[in-house]
Amino acid sequence: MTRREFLKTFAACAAFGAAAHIAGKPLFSAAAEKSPAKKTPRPFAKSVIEIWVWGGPSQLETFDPKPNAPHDYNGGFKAIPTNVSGIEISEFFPLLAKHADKYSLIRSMTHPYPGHETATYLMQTGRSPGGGRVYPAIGAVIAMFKAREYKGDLPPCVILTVPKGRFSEVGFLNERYSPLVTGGNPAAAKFIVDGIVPPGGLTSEEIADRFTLLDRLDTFGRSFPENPALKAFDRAGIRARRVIEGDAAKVFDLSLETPEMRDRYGRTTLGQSCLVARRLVEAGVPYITINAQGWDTHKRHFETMKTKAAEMDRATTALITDLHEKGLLDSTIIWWTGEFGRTPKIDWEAPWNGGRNHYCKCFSSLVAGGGFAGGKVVGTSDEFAEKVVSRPVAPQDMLGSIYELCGIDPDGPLPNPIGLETTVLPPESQAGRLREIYRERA
Amino acid sequence: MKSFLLLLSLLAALCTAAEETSIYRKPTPVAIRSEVDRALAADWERNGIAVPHEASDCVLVRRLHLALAGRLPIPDEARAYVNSTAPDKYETLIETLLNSDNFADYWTMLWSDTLRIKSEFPINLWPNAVYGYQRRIRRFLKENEPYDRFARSLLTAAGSNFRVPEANFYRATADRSAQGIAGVVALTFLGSRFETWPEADRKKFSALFEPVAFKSTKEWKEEIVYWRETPDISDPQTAAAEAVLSHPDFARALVNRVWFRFFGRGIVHEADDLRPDNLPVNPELLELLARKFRESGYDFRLLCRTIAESAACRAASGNGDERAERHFAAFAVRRLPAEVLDDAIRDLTGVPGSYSSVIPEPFTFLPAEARTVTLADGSISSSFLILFGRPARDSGKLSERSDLITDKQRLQLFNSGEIYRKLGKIQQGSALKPLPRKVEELYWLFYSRPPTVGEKLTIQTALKNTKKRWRFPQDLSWILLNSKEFLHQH
Repeated sequence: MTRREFLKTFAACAAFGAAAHIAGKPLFSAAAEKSPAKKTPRPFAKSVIEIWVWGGPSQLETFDPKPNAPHDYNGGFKAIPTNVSGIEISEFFPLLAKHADKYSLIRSMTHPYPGHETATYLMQTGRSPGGGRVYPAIGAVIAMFKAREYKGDLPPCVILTVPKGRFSEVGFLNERYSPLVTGGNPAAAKFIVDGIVPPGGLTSEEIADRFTLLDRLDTFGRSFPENPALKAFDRAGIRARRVIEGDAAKVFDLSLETPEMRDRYGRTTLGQSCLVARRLVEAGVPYITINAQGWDTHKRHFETMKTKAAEMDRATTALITDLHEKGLLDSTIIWWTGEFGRTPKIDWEAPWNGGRNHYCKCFSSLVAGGGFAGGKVVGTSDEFAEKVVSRPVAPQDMLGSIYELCGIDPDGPLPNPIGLETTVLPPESQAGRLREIYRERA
Repeated sequence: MKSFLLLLSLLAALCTAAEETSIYRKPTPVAIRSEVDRALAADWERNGIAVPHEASDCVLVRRLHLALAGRLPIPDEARAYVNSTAPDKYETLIETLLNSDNFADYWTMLWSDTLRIKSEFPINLWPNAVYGYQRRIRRFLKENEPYDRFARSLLTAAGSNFRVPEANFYRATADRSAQGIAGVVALTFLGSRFETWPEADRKKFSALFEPVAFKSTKEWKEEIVYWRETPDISDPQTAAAEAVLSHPDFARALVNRVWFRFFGRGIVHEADDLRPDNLPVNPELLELLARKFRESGYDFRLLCRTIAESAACRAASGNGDERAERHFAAFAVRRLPAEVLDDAIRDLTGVPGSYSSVIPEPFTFLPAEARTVTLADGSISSSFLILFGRPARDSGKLSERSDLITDKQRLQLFNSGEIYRKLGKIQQGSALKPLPRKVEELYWLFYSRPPTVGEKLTIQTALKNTKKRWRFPQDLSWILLNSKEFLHQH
């Protein structure tokens, strides 16, 4: 179905579903598009886990291997079959290969920005850099749209464990939708989340005593009881105390998991971050980012891949299968991507010694769960993974698909405190959003 | 007997209440002594708003330090002011602060927000240029260069970003089309949103910046701003500067913006959204300040002094009367700005912040003694500064700086390892003093005032019940740090 046909069908559905649209539930499902009268819409994804492969993972050593390309391209590394016939991935991901029915691959991601910050900005906001305005990243936008239905005590957007640090992720949205940056290390003996898990040294009684005395000594507050700024301060304090003294912090306590479960994810920062992400999903947090660092492999690419890919393989596989076993995969989107891929032709010369540089024209991403079908491949690249051959996917198409599956209309207005009239995303590209891999409702 | 006890405790409560009020405000109404004060008072009378109480000395010494120098007074400064009997101590303090390096540093920071000084995306000034430009702004403030001359130097600038600091004014625009530049000029110097202008005016104004052009050199990250020759205008640089400087909103926009910096709202609000249908709350006041500013030869420091001396700056803090705040008959209570809070915590605990940046190249490392307020580059930040609403310097709008209170901020101050670690140092530093002196000192440190009788009693009771007396200074510091009185300018 072309974009035009789709829109035509959608227009027919839209008239039918106008009431729902007005009620702020703008979406349709792939099923509804076929026979609008009978089907109820697919429930929307509740949470998104973004595995941000910082630096740009190589498409060849992940999900678009080219075993038949020259050695200067594939470095002698092979492809392996998956449990879905016809889909092969890189030999660096043997565990993930056993579960290709649970995720889909996009091998035709493409955009024009080979620099980290501009590419990150585009991949996160769907907007081209420039124009003097910094748009919010997808995490902040989803946090804002989901804020009403999300009732948890933790902030609606969490990033493990360090910020991406390239631009202000909350953009022009309210600061409350900026990500909670955990800091700390979930693979350490104690995962100390800055501000949430007390750093130790104080008993809970002593903490309670401090709060009591803080209230008693609030001379200023008692002198200006009607001041709205001070009332807001109190409200924020009550919510913060609930996080500290309630159960919310337990989500970060990995000692509550069995040792076997911890091993399954791998005892690495990445692995344990994925385990925390699963616990955050269980707590209902709408958007979780895992900032997986160390993929900017200009030098000694293959040596780095051996360790990086192994921990990634284990962590991602554990996350997908664990969510699946717990029945949470249907309501959780996993989005695995870098800001771009890497140059297919290997730079063997010193100082690179077998390195790959930034490459944005053609790279791969993985999606799973939350309304995305498994066992599919979108788009193809040429024999070197250098050019997109079919079905190009622009960042705004990828983001738009995630928004749609979360029940957020990418073409709808983006409410904001600066009074800017704008939509959630710019219009989708010619090729359009990833509707071909939206799961149909059973 | 029972009723006698009840009466006694009631009396005690009353005394405490009276004492509590008197530490924040004087019993007398704020004195009306200048032309500006009369413009304020006339507006209050017109609107049926009572003349506010004058804020107490303890409040004023803290308020002036925060507004003018971007820092808390140290206990000795606060005590000296409060104990002084000089009739002109308020004016003297203003003069001292205006001449201090802290004034130049703090207002350079605020100006750098407006001028969008950052090395990276989306402004891309690059590090060398950031520092040259920031020092140029500091010179304007340190030497009290007339504002019109400063503005002219930016508007007529041409040359290399590394050699001519002013040339960075035109570079600090994410959209470098003539319209983009015109929009930035309108926001910066005329305090207005270009998109609200009529189409014809926009076209005319944009045409002035059509000649501005950029070219790179062989030097890494060097860029030259130059003016293309145009057949219609003989001296495009002067023409552009004249159009801005002769605009009736040139002085108005500046005084309104500075007023906003003191009170958290402009006489026209939003303070950088001047337009015919956004009326000033007190037109006489705005005109008076603008006129005085022009007549003084655009004396920036004098403007700051005039505002600091005004009845609006001496008024007691507001207690929820939105109308009184809007007419500046009550001082608006606001959270401390991110950088000021960061510096305050560092001054209180003696633990410096640490800043390095490996994103803008060449990499930047700052000495431990550098104050956060003096951070030149908006691209160099910390999660603390981001959390507390430091502006991203993307647009130059005042609304970029957030003084909202969020749960995450409170969690950070309640419970973070960084705060625990820093507070641990307070206890070590005051280990030798007897406890009551320590309590007294901590109150001056955090609040710029002594503890009240009621507060001392509460603390004594708490001390009796604690099992860890040795840790009490740290406990109390934690409490003071997390209190409303410390975290707000009031």
